Amino acid sequence: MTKSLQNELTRYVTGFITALVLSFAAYWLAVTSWLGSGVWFAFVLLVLAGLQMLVQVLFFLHLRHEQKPRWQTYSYVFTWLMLLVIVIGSIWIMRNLDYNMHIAPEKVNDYMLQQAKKGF
Amino acid sequence: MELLSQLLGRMSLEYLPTEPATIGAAVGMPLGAIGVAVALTYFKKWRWLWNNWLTSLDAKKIGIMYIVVALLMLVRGLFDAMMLRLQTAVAVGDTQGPFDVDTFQQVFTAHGTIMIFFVAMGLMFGLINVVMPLMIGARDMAFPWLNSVSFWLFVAGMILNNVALIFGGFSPGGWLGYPPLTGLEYNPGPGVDYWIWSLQIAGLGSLFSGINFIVTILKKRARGMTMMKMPIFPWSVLVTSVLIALAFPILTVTLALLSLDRLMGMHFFTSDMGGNPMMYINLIWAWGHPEVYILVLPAFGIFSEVVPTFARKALFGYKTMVAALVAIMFFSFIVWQHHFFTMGAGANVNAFFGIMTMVIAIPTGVKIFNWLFTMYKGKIRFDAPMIWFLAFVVTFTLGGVTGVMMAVPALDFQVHNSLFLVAHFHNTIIGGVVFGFLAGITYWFPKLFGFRLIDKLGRWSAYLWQIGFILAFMPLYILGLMGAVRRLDHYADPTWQPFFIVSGIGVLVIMAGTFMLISQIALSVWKRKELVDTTGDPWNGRTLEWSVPSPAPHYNFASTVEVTKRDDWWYAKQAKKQLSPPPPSAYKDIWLPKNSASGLLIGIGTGLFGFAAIWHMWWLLVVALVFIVAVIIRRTYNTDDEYMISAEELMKEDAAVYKRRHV
Amino acid sequence: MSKNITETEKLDNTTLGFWLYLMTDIMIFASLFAVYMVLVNATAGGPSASELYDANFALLQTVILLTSSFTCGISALMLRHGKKIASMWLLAITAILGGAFLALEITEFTKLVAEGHSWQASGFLSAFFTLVGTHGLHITVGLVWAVSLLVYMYKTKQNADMLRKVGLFALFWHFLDIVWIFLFTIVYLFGVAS
Repeated sequence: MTKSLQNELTRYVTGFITALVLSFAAYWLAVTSWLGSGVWFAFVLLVLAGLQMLVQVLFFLHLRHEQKPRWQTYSYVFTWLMLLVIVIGSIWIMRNLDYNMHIAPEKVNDYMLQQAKKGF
Repeated sequence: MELLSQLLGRMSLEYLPTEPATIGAAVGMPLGAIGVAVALTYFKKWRWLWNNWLTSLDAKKIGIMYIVVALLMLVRGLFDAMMLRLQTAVAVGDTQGPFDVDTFQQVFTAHGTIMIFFVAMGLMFGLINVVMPLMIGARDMAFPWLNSVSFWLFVAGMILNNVALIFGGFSPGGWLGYPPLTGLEYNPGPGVDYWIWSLQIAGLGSLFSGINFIVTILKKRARGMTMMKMPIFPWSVLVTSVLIALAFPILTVTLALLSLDRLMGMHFFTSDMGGNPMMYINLIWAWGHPEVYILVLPAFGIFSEVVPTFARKALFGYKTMVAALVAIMFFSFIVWQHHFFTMGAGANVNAFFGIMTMVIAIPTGVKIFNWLFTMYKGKIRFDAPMIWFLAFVVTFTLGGVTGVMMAVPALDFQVHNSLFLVAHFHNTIIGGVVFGFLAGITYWFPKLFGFRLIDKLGRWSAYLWQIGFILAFMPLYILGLMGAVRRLDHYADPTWQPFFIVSGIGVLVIMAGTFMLISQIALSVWKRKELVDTTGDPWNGRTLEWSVPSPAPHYNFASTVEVTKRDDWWYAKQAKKQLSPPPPSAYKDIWLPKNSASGLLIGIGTGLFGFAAIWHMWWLLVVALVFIVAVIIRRTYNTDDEYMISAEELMKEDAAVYKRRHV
Repeated sequence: MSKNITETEKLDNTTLGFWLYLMTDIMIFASLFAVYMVLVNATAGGPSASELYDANFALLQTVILLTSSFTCGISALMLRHGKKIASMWLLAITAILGGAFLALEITEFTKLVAEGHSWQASGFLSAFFTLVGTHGLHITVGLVWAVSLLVYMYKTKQNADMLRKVGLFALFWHFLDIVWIFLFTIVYLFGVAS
């Protein structure tokens, strides 16, 4: 087995094990409710998922070793940026809309009074 | 009977057109197609059409086909516009217009869909295909075969859109088809499905084109052409393609979800069972706003080439031009909510997106000033492309300013979905996109066909479009402020009528401008001997496409291109380098893609797939799918897909070109 | 034959092109995720996420898909080092694991439908089936691709084109695993914990 093949194999194995560990950690947090199920839980789980994504990108997709100019890396980062804009933006807009527009008819009066107190 | 309904899905005779206007179109269009077919047979041109055009993988040929299809669709879209304005000029008070509500709705839906997807996008893809590889010194696209697939998907979408006229009727839901109106409950018929599949298929083609253009620009530039030495048009194409690649998937998903609602009874956008129609509006505009920049950026790119050429001066502020493009690439993704300020999101959301919308006006303003400063102290020639540019500055700036007005949420609440809005976006799309692409066609026409267009008729066309535009849309601003909403087929207030009549006259003037454009092309073809372009550089241009003869040879460049600075061709001419041919070592054997019919076949397959989905003919759906997959697999394992042109042959042809330059 | 495009250029161009296609696919999934997150509470009186999902089942799927992604990467690695037979074996294992994953997903779907929680039951379930199903559809395409690659590799001597084809498949398969990480987290784990 050549040296380079061995190096590359080691990289795949490291990536694989790290990914497994991260998956199990997330699973464990969800099943045991160690962090509850609130904002912190969601945040930590998303961080774990993000880390695992990075691990796979670096160890399996070899984005580290791309030659310059690194168009793949640039496009990947920009896509993620736009993804976050679209997903977070949509959720923000839709929550706002739900809050303002999905009101049971019998509650409209209360809502208007409440808004009027705020001074529109 | 059972078998028949299996075979025909939900087709039945009741879907044949009944309205006089649609019957006319339904009879006229097939007759036109048959006429063309008969003419082709009579003149024995089928083989020529097949070998030189339909199966060609040459980007220039594909580009020309895009432009032909788009101009045909422009005529159809303008007829739709005339029908709309005829109705509103007449239908006031007790008088009814010539069209019933249903027809009117279908006409405005078709008008919007066709103008955006098959005219603006078509002209854009056409011009990009024609000149972008030439401008960056490439022989072809990165993926020529994929390029042909894109084109045929575009055609398949276009045909589905037009077949709706003949059989089944079109969607009445407006160009963006908001549910729940377009949901199963309110529109169970095939019209909305025609709309969905026509856009879905054309959108898929656009997506492939976007990827293709990005790789071409990033990987196939001439040696020495760094990103910052690249002309602005390819830059604008790059940014547009990035927007296509990231925004069109959202359209694909949105249409697919609407389709799932309609086909499988899901509840994404229904009003009951947890569905949320507002989510559709959110998603479609997350695509829709980048889309308007997708359309207008290449037009900006065209003007960035036209203005320096006709002002005989280098572009002012190249770096700020690039920075503005990149800024737009980013900001165009964070303004989409301004299309639905009034839907009920809170003040925070509206304020954020309102401010972002105002911010995005800044890079656009930078570009306008850069063009004006390019003209400053230039020796300007007022040929037709430059007239289009001047018309653009006036019209587009006006549209931009009304856009900033509507970016203020409080003001938007007054004019939302009124004719004010309609006037605004026509101001930007006609003034920006259409004028830009018509300038581009006039500018690059000699490069494609080897002869110039008659300039006088081109200028007249620009004047007529400009006057027609003002007549057609200024009244709409006023009407919008008076409270007239868009998509209105009948109104009660007689004081509105004069404005609508003026607007209708404006459309007629635009029609005259279009007629002038068509006669410009027709007359120029007639007199092509007198207008012939022998030098390959009729405008004394600056960029690489003018360094090759007109019409551009199918291999684009005979010798290997090397670039040292921006506007390399201009500086080469200053040094008289264009007169002596390069050394023999610069000529190498080149390989070009062979013709392939598989793009056309995939287009046919996809068209049938869409048709089957519209009419619920499940057997045809499966057959079409299997057919498409088979064509793709066959193509993947085809290794003999290129042919060679030898270096000697290239050198011989090029020597003749250089000889002509001395005359 | 000296063509004007060298094999490395061709590899570079197709890799970048395919990579950009994956970027568009990311946006497809991003839109579906956004829809799912907006509609996750729109249960229309039906069961909610926490009542339907089984974390152990999802974990099993995760391990299977992750392993297949690993074997797929090794398969491409082996081919780069000229070991075609080893590469084919690993690719076959990848396909089998992918098939197992798909079988599990189909089991889950049939179970849900049999219990009356089909995609027609609520906005939430529509979003769930579409998001997870789109990933499953990609896996299916990947399986067809893997099998046709195996046939091609069996019939052909190793060459540069083969390296390119296997490399593209590996990109696709890794990408599907990355998407699954987020499905696992946002759909299943968030669902179970809610």
